[in-house]
Amino acid sequence: MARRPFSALCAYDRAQLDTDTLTGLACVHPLAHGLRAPFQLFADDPGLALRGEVDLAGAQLFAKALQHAVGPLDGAEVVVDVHELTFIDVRGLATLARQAHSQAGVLVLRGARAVVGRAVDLLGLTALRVEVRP
Amino acid sequence: MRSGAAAGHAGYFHETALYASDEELLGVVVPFLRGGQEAGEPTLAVLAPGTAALARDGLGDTDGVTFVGGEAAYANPAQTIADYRARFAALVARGATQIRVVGDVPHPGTGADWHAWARYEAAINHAYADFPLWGLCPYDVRITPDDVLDDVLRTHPHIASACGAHRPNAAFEDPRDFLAARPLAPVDPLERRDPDLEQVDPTPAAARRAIEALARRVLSQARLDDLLLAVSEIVANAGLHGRAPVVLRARRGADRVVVSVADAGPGPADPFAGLLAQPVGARPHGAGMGLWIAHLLCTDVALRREAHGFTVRLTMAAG
Repeated sequence: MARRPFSALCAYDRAQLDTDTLTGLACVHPLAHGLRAPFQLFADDPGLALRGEVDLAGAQLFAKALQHAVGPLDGAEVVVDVHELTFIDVRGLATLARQAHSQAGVLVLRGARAVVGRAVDLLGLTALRVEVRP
Repeated sequence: MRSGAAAGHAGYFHETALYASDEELLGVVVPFLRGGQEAGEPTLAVLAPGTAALARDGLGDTDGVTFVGGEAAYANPAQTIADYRARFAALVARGATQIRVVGDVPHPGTGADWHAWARYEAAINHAYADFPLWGLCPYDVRITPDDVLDDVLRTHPHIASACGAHRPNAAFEDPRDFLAARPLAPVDPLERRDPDLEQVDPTPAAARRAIEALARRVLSQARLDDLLLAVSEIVANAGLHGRAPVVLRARRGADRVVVSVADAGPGPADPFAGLLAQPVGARPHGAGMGLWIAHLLCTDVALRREAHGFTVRLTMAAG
C-alpha cells in the first residue's frame, strides 16, 4: 500500500481497548490522532520507516512491532528510513540487529545520525548497515 | 614458544619499568625490542614522540618493529582495550606465539588525567589475559607523580630494570581488589558550584531533553548526540540496576559539559564494567553495553563508589 496513492483511516473504539493495545496501534501508524506512542514503525517505499524515539520506555513495544514488520529476509537487505528517528539507544539497536539476524537478512538504516553509525560499529552489529545522513 | 623473560608464561606478562634517565629507558626498551626482532615475534612500540625517537636511535635497525603513535593509541582506555584486543586476536590468528608491546601510558606528567588510566592498568591484567602478550609499560620517575607510581606498582605483576633483571612484583594487587578500592577521580572545578540542572528519578527521555537544552550551546551536534546516548544509557542503567533515588545533575562550562548520574546502590558488581566490551549476544537486550558505550563516546568517564551510593560522571569537551 505504501507505493500507491492510497489513504486509509483506521478507527478504534478506545473504550474497548486497553492502553497497551492502543499504544501498540499508534506505533504502527504514521499518523495517529488522540494516541501517543514514542516511535512509529510503518511500511514506506522502499521498505520501512522508523520515526520518533526508541528507548527503554518503548523497548518491548519496539521488539513486538519489529517482529510484525520484518518477516523472513533470506539474505536480502531491507531499507529502514530513519531520517525522522530522533533517538535510538543501545538496546533498540541490538533489537534491530537481532530481528535482522533471526530473519537471515540485513537492515539498512538510511539517513542515520553519525552517533548511530558509531554505536553500530562499536557494538559490532553486523546485521545492520548504517547510511549516515550527509 | 615464547622468548625472553616471558618464556614459559601463559597469557599476559604485564611488566613495568621505572626509569630515571634516557640510558635507563634504553637499557630496558632496546633489549625488549631487539629480542622481539630476533625471535621474529610481532613487536609494537606504541610510544610518545620523545621516547619513540630515543628507541629508534638506540635500536638502529628498526626492521620488524612496528612503531605506532602513542598519543592516538592511548586517547581513551575503553577504545585502547578494544583496539589492542582486535590487533592481538588478528596476530594470534596469523600464528603469533608471543606479541611484544611497549607502551607509553598517559598520566599527569604527560598531560593526562590518571584515574581512567589507573583503571586501565589494572583492568588489562584481565582484558589481555587470553593473549600470549608481553607488555612493557615504562614510566619516567622524573615526571610521574608519586601517587601514580604507587598505582603503577599495584597494577603490574612484573618489573624490569635497566641492568637486565626481570622479577615478580610483590606489591601487585588483584585487579578486582584494586578497582573496588580505587580512590575517587579528582573533582572537576565545575562540580564545586551549584548544578545548572538537577532532576530526581528522571526517565531517560526526560534526562535527554534536559541535557540537550543545557548542552547545545556548548557542544557540536555530533558531540551532543554522543553525550545524549551516553546519558540515556547511564540513566536507564541507574533505574534498572541501581537503587532509587536516581539524581541527574549537570553543569555547563565554557569548554565542556559535566553530567553526573547518582543512585543509592553499590554500583556494578563487575569491577571491569565499562572498560571491556561484552558481546551483545551474551546478555539479552544489550544490557551491560551502555556503560562501555558511554566510556567510548565521552571525553572522560569517572566512576565513584561511595558509602552512600554510586555515581557515574560524564564529561564531554566542546568541539
